Amino acid sequence: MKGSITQETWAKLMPQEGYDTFPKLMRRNHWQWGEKKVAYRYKDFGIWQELTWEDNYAHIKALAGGLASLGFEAGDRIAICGENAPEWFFGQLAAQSLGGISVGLYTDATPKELQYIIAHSEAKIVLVDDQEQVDKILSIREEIPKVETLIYWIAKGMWSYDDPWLIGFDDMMERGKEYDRDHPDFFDRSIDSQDGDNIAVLLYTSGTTGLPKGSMVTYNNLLSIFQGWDEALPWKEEDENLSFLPPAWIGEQIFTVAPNLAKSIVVNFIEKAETIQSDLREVGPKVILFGARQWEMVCSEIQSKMIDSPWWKKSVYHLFLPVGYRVARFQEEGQRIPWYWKALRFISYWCVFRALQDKIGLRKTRTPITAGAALSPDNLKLLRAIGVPIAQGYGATEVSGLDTVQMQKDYYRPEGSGEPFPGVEVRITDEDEILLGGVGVVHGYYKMPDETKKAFRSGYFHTGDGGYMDDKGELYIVDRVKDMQTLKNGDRFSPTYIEGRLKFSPYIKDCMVVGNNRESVVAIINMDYENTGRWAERNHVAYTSHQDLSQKKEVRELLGDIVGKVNGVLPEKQRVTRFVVLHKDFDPDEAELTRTRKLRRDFMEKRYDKLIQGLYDGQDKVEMETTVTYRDGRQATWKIDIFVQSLEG
Amino acid sequence: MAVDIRNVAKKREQRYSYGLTLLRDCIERDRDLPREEDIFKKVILKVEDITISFGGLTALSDVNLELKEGELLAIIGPNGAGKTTLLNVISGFYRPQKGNIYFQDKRITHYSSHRIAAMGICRTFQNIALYTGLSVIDNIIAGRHPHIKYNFLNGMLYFPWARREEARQRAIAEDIVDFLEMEHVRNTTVGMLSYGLRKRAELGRALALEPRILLLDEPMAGMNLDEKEDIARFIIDIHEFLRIPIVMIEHDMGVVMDIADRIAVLDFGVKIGDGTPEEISKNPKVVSAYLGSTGE
Repeated sequence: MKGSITQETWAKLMPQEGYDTFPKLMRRNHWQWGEKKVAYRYKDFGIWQELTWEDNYAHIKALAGGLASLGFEAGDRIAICGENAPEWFFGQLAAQSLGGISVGLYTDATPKELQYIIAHSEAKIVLVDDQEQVDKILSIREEIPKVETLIYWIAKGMWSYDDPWLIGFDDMMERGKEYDRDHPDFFDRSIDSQDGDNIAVLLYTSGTTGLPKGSMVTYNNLLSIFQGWDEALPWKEEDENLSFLPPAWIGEQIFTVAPNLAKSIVVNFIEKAETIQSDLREVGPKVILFGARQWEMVCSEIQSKMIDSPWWKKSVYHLFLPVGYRVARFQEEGQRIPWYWKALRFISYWCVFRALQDKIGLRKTRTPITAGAALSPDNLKLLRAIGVPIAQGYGATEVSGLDTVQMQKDYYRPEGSGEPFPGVEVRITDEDEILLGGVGVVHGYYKMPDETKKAFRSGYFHTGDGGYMDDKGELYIVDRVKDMQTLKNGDRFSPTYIEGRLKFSPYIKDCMVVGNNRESVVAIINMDYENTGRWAERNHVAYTSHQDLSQKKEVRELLGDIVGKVNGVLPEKQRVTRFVVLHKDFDPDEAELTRTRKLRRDFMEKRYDKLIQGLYDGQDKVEMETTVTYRDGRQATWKIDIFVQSLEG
Repeated sequence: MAVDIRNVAKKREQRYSYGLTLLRDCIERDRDLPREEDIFKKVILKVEDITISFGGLTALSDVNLELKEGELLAIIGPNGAGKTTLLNVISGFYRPQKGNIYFQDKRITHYSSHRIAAMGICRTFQNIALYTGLSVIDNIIAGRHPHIKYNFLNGMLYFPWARREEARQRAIAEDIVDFLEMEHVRNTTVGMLSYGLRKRAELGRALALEPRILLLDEPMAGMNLDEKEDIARFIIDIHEFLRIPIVMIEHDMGVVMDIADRIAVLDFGVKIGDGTPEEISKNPKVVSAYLGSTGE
């Protein structure tokens, strides 16, 4: 079943005959480029070292020989655990050349997690980077009896290890060269014997519930999704890329391995996780895929560096930043930018933003993408303002990675997640669940038929994410479907999504949105005492305590404006109609929050039953009787009036 | 703790090496690594009847100490016991009023501190002494100074051979940076670094000197558990792979008991105990010095 994607599109995105697997593409690049083009670059002794396609081919062939000499055959699995390095991908490609499947492991996984995945995938060989990982694997050796050999590539500190189970990367390559002498042609023969329908990688995703599931991703999946990406946002041969995402994540496969092989771009490996910033600046990649966390890092670096810079730099920055923000607003609203703003932008680019982009290593970046989690609108706006055309994306391992992305450089929505790539089909069910279909849908979960049946139905992957698509074709992710609630009229809404939006305001510390099985959405808000207090002082609002300030009319109006703004981006039925500002903060000591500061909704709805009832009854104020439990166990009770604020529209 | 002294005979390509190979090559070129039969047997540094007093205060009285080949000796003791003074005497910062110090059977009591350093007795300081205005890598290269093989004039005119030598020294320094996992701060000036990283940089500089003996003054003071574990690992690696005998002053008893081959205990300038970690933990004098007298 191929949904609404036509046979033609489907066929066009499929990889070319003869170049339909990673090893075949690797061999093609070796023929085509040989010594002439750099494939990988890594840092050693503080200097970038280059590996050409010739070098890569030699390494992979030697390692494949080594693996073959250990009895590694088509269909066998190799589990790889290490920081990004050429050896990681050599290991993957060598195994794939023999018809094997690579299983990525995360370096920060505990031995128990590693044990589960290694045992579940029935890996025959484990490839790791350094002593830390070797020790982890050694500690679970008894529980992974199927593993025959453990290979490591960073021998640092391991001179006293003489376990025959262990073998160094260079020793493997030596073995491989010997094997090659005895078995000429083994490499080409095994590469030719595979096709695009073979499984390339097994990628385990933990998911928030249950055991990790291994998605069986084929070469066709990866290459055709990449083809779709390439069609929408073309890659170029001279592009540079920085490899720092965990290779065990689908993102790195689709973002580094696929373009490196299909488009022969140069992959630069970061030196260490701590050196990303300087490596980024040295490499200046053209396309970047960061998680929200990393973008936050970039933004905070901009801000902290700005604070440390001399006054004249600071003043130029603050002079031109509003220009950036204004242009960003035009882009957000989808308007054409008037020529005089364009002129101002041009000036500010050459005065400040060019240098700034250079400092953070994003000057040459054509497509900066954020995916994985939502990036806060503030950071998005800052990045847009300094001229980084950041785009949000969305995808799932089960649909081979990045599936939708904001593709227009001059138009973006801070809440949106972009349009689907060619070859990706998005459908929204009646329950608002997002289904993904098309060329990227994988073969299912490895050895988990029940889970597969549940998640993959008639060619679509059920993401479990709730969301909607606007008339321009942009996808919006709201929440996990199971966390969404339903209003009495049947409309679904996500409390956490609305709460999250509200909490972006510095004046709102926490809040709870209520509305399950009721007529409309209402909210109980905790103001941020410090920030609101400061605002009150600036605006000459006198107050005595937290409780006093929270019930001031001015504060209600201030928060009313904020809620109104959030309402502006929500569908009409899901808007917050009325709210109260609570006289105190939600408190884990009173069991209102969990220790990890998540709301305990059921408990709270009971506890604030009277207040919520008051919100729906249309009262102006609710008399609350509160009991406070002190740390020493004593209790005190008092009565207060809590005022209700309504919002128009 | 038994030291694994299996000889690492195989030379590997740099990328797949055991780390610190360039430095080890340099050391091996100048001298042979200690022979197996000498380990724990041959005395390399001998402190004999050292007495030193400042005014009326006797900091050390009649202290005797021996450091053997391939040994990791920890010196412990309460505050003011004279631990740092002992290191200062060994490294020539203080002159003892009585007693002698022998390094490889040679009396070095009256050598100046730079001469002792040139002989290969290198140390780190309790309150870090680095060039705060220079980057980490420059500090480490500065430590290579005695081993740089071009003179002032060559360096100034930057002849090709001087340039080659410079590149070689830089490579060795990078080897050390790699070993100490300081890649992310290699170009940061030392003054900007956290205390833990500065300590590491200082260790790096001491290593760059290709030490014959390494004296470490509280290498883990003021560090969190993670940083301590890192430093402990580095010390063990240096000790096992380069086979450098180490004298270490440390307060963290857990670490000392774990990694030291032998422990010497000082109290008010007197050595009150000397032995393996196990012996020391049972020594009543040591226990009373640390936990207070039991009134016996």
